Amino acid sequence: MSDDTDRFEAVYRATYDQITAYAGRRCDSPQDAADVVAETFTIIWRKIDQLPAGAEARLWVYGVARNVLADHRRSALRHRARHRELNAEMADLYGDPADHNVELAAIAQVFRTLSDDDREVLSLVAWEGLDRHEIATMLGLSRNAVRIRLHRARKRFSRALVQAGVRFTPGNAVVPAGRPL
Amino acid sequence: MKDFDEISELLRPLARIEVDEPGGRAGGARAQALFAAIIAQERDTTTTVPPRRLRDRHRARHPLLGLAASAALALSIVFGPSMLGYGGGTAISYANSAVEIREERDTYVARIKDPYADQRKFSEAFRALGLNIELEVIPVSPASVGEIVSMGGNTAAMIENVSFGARMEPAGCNVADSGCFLTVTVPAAIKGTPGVMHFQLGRPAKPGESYANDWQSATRAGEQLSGAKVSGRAVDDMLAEVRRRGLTAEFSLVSVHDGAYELKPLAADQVGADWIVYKVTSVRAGVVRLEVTAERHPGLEYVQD
Repeated sequence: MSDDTDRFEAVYRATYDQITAYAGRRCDSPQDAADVVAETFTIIWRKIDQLPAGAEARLWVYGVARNVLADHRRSALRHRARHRELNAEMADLYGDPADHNVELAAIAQVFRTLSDDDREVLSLVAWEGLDRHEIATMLGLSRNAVRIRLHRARKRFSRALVQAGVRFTPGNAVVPAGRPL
Repeated sequence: MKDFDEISELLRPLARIEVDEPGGRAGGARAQALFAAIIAQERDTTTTVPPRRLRDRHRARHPLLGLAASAALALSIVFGPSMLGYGGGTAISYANSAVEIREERDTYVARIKDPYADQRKFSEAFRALGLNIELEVIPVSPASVGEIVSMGGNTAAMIENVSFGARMEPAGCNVADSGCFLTVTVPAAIKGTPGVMHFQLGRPAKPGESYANDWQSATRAGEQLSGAKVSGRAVDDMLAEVRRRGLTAEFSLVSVHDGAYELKPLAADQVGADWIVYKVTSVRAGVVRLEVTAERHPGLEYVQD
């Protein structure tokens, strides 16, 4: 195998789990997630000579996945059954939802009201476990810019939780007489 | 404001793939199949693009998506939504003039074809598939268009599986445009569960039409008082801002009891200039409602901006 193939295999093995999870957490369907994973690694293969060394490699891969995801959402392209095996992989992941409840549904709804930028930084911390420095590297921003983004996102999310208008009502009434405090 | 640890604790359970759970399996046959497919492709090493170029929204898509993507988009334009099939055995399950619902793996996806249709047609379509779902498509303020603004009823099904969702297809499109659809996704597991589940999905209001989501804040992004500080502010101060934005105001009196609060209509001449605003909501385009009390109420949590 060539050096490039070795390097690609190494980064593929090191990040495949993380990128499938990253895509799965952000795509509405397993097919979309499979598209994002496949295109991410295809781009990485094409650009393997740009792969940074060391710990930054993983963040660079996340950055590529982020751009692919953004493109995917913009283009609203739909799955075309190209990677049946990967589809099955993603479908398995989607078929085992976490233990949710009504309160989580309400939080999820509020979370969806945030801007893409706010959701991105908050979820990179909560789901991918990245710290500010890593997020700054991934997004190509200064650490200070990330700090400010995180602060503002946290503030807006806190406010939105308080102001949340989504109400889940036990029984059969959609609109209760009282309003939650 | 909640600290980061609290926020991460809140968000962590929302991850579809749990935080400590590996995504795929890099050593698995599926991962290996994708790996083999990728390295079988030619690499164009003479036209590598600098990293920042990746962020260019107009960049050409990779050939892997190229031809098939163009073909799929062209078909969708020619045939419209009712003819779309995404491969992998997807089938249209039920359609009437208002809505099309199809089963996709573990979910039902309902695409609203006519958000202004007779409400009965939406529920009729779900019932035809054996789903106990009452869907209302209601006029809402701009920030809530395309959102599920309220859910209720069959809470047992909600607790077991909350893969409910709403989105615009394509993302961010305008419902007034052709080819733009409100879409609702519900888990297939809800089929056969007892009780009716209610959904209210937001659609754009017609000119002059009152918003039905009159409990949601008018300070959210995209709303009439976007970004304004309202909670705990004096009425005369708030009204100055309302007027500055070319809006008019109505009033409701907040009364607190038993862990909730209720609103009663209040004429403008009954409201003191120094009364305190708790929240502002949108009534319809150009009109907001100030929820007020005569004094700061210790039972209300005033949101600090």
